[in-house]
Amino acid sequence: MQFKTLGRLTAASAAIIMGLAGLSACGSSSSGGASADSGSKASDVEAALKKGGSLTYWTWTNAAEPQVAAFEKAYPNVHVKVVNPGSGASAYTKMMNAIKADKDVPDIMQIEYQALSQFYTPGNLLDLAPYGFTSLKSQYASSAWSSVAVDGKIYGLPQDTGPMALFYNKKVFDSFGISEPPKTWDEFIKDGEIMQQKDPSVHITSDSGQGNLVTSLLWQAGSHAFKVDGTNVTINLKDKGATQWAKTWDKLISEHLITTFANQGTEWYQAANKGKMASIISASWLRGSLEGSVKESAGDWRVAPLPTYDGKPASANYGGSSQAAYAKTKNPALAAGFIKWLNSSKESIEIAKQKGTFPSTVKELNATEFLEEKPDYFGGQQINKVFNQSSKDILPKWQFLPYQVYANSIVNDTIGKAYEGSTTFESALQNFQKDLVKYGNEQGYTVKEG
Amino acid sequence: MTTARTSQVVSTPSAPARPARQARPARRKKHYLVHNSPTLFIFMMILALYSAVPLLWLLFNATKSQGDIMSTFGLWFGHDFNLIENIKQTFTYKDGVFAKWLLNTFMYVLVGAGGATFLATLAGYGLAVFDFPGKKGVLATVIGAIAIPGTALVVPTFLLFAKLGLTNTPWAIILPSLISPFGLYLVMSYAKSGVPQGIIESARMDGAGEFRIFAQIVVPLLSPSIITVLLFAIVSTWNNYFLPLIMLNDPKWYPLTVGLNEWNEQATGSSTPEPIYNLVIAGALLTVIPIIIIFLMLQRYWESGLTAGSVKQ
Repeated sequence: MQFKTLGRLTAASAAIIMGLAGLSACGSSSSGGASADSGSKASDVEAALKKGGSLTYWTWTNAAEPQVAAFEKAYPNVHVKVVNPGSGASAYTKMMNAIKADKDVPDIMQIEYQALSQFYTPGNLLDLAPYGFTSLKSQYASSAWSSVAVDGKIYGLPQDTGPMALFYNKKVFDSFGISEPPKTWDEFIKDGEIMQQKDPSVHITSDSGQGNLVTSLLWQAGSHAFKVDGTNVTINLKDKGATQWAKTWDKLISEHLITTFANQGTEWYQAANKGKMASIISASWLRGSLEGSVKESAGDWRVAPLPTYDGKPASANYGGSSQAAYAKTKNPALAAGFIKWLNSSKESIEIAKQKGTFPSTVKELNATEFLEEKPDYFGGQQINKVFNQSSKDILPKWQFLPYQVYANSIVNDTIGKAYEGSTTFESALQNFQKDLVKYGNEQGYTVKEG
Repeated sequence: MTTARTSQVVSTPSAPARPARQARPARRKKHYLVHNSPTLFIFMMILALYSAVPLLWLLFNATKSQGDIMSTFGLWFGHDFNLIENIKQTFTYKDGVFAKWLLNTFMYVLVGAGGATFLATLAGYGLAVFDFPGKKGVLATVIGAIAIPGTALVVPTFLLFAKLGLTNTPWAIILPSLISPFGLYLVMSYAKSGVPQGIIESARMDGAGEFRIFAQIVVPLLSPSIITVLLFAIVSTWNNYFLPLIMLNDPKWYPLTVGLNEWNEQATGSSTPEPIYNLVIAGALLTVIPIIIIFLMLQRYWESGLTAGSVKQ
């Protein structure tokens, strides 16, 4: 039910325009619009909020409308216009287009962690550090903070995170005599084999090779495929982590242990409802989708840490986003003030939580009430404890490409071939790497193969 | 292959056009075809079925609740008949933005396709009947323009419009839609054979002005080709996806195609995914219906237009 072709078309167009809005088109230095003058700008923020003005905020979150309403109540002189430009690649295309055209660029944008560097590398995002944001560091989960804070600059404030986990249907696992969720990927493969031998209609999971997920799985495998230093990029999709992932997925696909239904498409939901998909590799935010759209198997699902390659805990972030300000925004102090309120005020965080957003703030992640929640849907399991642990187990030092959105959009064309079974994952990764190196160099980065 | 199926449903609402086009000669000369070439007949039937299945899928699924879409067989009804509820929800979801998209689409079609037809008729007739310096150059340009797919021009057009400050306004959709080189060419070749030079000359003798001749004599003569151009323009404007996707970033100007795709993507976001497949499918059905009605209304003219104009060599 996903329009893959349309998506691809969009991606292709994104690529064209991204190129135009990329490094070559960037006139400003990468220090962001506002130069850090010596005065304390932290006090400017409060003053700007009191003085008022108007801002445009692009977001696809369901919490945005009530959050903005609460914000305007607190600061009656500020007017925030909320626009929903869609989500994912198409939203970034629109942002890049607006930036390139220098017309109708939103003051505040919602940007996922994986896409942030695409915007700050060419200098399109405002550095929030001078506005007193450095002191907010301790409030956020370290994995989220390290995504927004780079080389002493702060390009956004984390709103939600997506620590990965394995959602598994306990009833299905039990029916095959498997009492524990798999702890390693080898066990995962074994469990998948058992299911296929006993009942060919049941698969251990479904994975269609969606860009974001593949990237996060490489991260979880301990790969450091992308090393980025300013505009110098090294790509190595042959390292130990990437090879481990490729070998595992080769097995899963070649033995037909998993299906390749489009992620969260109708067939995917059908399989989840009917107990034909025994587990789902995803992240904390999937909870709402399951509760809302997989009602037939309610009560059967549980959450476990992701299987690992060596049995030691390892996790990654999959999804999650921050809010950032445009470098050339007319009123930087006001934009900074809104972002600060949005992702650090108690009131706003509470609204986000009620809308099912998985928090990024330490306080909320560690709140007793949050950790001890026992949703019936998950058979009374304290699932947030699993997510919280996963958040701590996220492997450090992973870097995204400064053109990750493009990279994710071509996963389907390159690694997708391995998912179709027409090539091995190792060689698919190499093709992916070739394309990334070529594209990166065309975009004005200096890309080497590591 | 759900992907192909659904993308076809939404991105080519003209799909039903194909069986209609192929089935008609088959219906008229049915006996001939069945007796003389049963293989061809069966082959045609298979093609007709192939084109109809996505539409059937759409019809069945538009009557299902979201739960049923995700849990029941695609080519039959679900547990409960939810069509009216789906349509209601489609129009009320997010403060009734769907109705706004519907009106936008109508506006783009009315102004864009109507304008394109008007301009193509004027220019096509002009090129067929009048002689002027540079005519060959104009002709070559028009024929060259037919060869360039519209999608390829979107990005340059975007950059041009950005400089003019026209992006994110309805003009960004309407202006490019006004240009229809194919329509111009069609009217021109039709006018060459369908508008006798003698009629025009005698009208001039009677003292009619050029515009009066055009409006009262030429337009009625050209009407089959005008309807054909109009139909093409309506279908292409109605299905226009890529141009508005790039040009617009404010949902209040979206046409149905872009809006529905956004709803579809809502299911796969990575913050708080909210699948609303029942509304996407009901919305797609509502998007297809008007174009089918228009097609059925205009198809009579279209047939005569195609044969008489004989554009194809």
